[in-house]
Amino acid sequence: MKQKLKAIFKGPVVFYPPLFAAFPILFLYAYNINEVSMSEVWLPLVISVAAALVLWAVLSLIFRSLAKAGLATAIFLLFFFSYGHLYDVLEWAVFMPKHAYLLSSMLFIWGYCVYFIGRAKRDFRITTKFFNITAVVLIAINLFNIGSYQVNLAKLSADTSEESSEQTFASPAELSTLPDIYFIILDEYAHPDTMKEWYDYDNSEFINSLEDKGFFIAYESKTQSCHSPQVLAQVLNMEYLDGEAWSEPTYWKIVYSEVANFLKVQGYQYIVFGNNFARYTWEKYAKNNVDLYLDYHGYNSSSMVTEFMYILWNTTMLEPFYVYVTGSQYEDSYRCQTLYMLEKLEALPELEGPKFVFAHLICPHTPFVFGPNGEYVAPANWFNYEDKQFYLGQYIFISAEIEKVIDVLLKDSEIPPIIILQSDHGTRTKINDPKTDYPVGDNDWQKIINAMCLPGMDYDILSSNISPVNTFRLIFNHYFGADYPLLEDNQ
Amino acid sequence: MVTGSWLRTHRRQVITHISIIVGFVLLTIFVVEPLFARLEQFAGESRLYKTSVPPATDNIQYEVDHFEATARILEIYGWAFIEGYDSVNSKIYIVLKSADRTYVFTTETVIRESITEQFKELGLNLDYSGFSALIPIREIASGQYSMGIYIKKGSIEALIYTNKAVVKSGDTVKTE
Repeated sequence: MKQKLKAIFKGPVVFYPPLFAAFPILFLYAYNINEVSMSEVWLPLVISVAAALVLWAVLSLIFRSLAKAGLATAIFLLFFFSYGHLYDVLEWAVFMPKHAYLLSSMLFIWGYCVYFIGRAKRDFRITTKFFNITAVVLIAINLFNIGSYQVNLAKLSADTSEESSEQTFASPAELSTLPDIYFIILDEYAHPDTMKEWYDYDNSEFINSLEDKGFFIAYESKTQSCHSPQVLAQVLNMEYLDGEAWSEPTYWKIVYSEVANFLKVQGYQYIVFGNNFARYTWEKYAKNNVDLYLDYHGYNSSSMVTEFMYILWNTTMLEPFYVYVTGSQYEDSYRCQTLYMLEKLEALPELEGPKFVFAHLICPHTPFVFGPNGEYVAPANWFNYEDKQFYLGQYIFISAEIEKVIDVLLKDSEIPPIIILQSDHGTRTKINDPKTDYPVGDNDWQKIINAMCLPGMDYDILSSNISPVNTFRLIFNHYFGADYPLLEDNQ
Repeated sequence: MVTGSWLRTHRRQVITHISIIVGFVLLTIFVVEPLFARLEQFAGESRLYKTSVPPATDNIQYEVDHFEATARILEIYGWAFIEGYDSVNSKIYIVLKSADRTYVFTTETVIRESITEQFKELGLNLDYSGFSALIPIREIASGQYSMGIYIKKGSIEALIYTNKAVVKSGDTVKTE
């Protein structure tokens, strides 16, 4: 036994296998650091390093050489973490490969590599040195990027907490007379004109029914950004913001917004819905800091795979086993979370006290997982932009469902509620590729639906091109006697 | 010449490695691929339902809104109910029938309040008459199939064949 161990530890110093196991995860995290929280990284990181150590140990016992086992482990890690990329490249450039063939071929090739490494008479001293140095450099670069980001983030948190501690809270108004406020965002919901022009679909039935229910429709309302976080931050802070759309300060502003602060001072409960998009943007700020955070993922523990884990998973050899292991498809969580939000929204009037509800539905945005009546859609069409029926189906579905929700909110609320129904942006064209873009005009992303149910307000004073940033200025002035000047509508 | 002598001296190794590769290919085709086909599931996927179907009764009102074959999946949406009965607790199945084979697939129920409204003179609750089926074509053998709708409501059964058909040939599928 002693001699066996002696033989294993004979040869060059090897430490790169666990570093190579950590590298893809740290790299993915560092690359998406604006959108991922560190808490999502620990689990895959620990599993990956631990599994690599186990494989290395087993191979070491077989080869009686740490260096040979290290090399075989490194090759496995290379195959394991590049599997998804290879699959994508083949799919894009050649043909749609079958997992059964690709995965087993890669394992077979690795098996042969192991065989030849085992038979080799060399001790792999130079290779080991090279890989040790490479691994250290790769890890160091990523740790440096992550570290500098965390330092900046800590600085930002300290600045903003100072700001909020300076606020003075007025005494609550008469709570029993305050209306609930529902701010419902439908992501990528196209303007009726866009639907008519490009999808040959007449949405006037839905629009007319909103008007019949007491909504004001700002037909010419436009958004100023095609990036959801920026739009949400602008509307909820009632001003045009220039900051980077996909950044921590913007996510922070979505949760700790001027609107939320104003309403909290008035005695409102702050209720926020989580979603797949929030999970990698503002969720970390909202989760423990709002009065009620409603999230399908928290409610359903079987859907705890985050987008980061999902992306990481799909780069690895585990890709074909995702559904089998997690019990559901990641895209299906969009479906489940939308249904969950619709159901929960309908139950909110029962909750006592005035409420400010912020619900951002990732619908009709991709993936297209609903047919026009809520039918299931085949996976091949989840991102089928070219065939218009899939966006249209999801559009029809969410229109009908949101109308039902509005009916319930109007019927079950003791005080007529304020309901804002907006799209963050219309359908977008990004790179003019029909495979990934909506078949619409270049400026259609600006045209949004902006429907407001403002009980007791004289709609004649409202302009049809009112900007979404003026929504809450208008509400606060009218219902709370505030004095916010309206900003220019089409900046 | 050199290659020939190398092959002669390494004949045993060459045969061993060729055997390993052939074994691997056969294993992949006959064991791994069918195994993976089972793993690649998705939400809303219809399952093969082992049952015998009754003769066509034709007492079903139905509409097929969407009937399309797309990358290995047959996508079918619509609504159906047994004449004279409401749709509560009824289960809708899709039948694919060829000259020598019959397959029955499960569907997901879709709430269709508009159907109750459309047939309001019947005074029936038809809210649960909607269905959605995503049929993996790997489950059916090549051939031409008529599409039928089979409904079970307790002990009551009904079956109707529609004018829709599907033709599977190898890995491709066409709807008619």
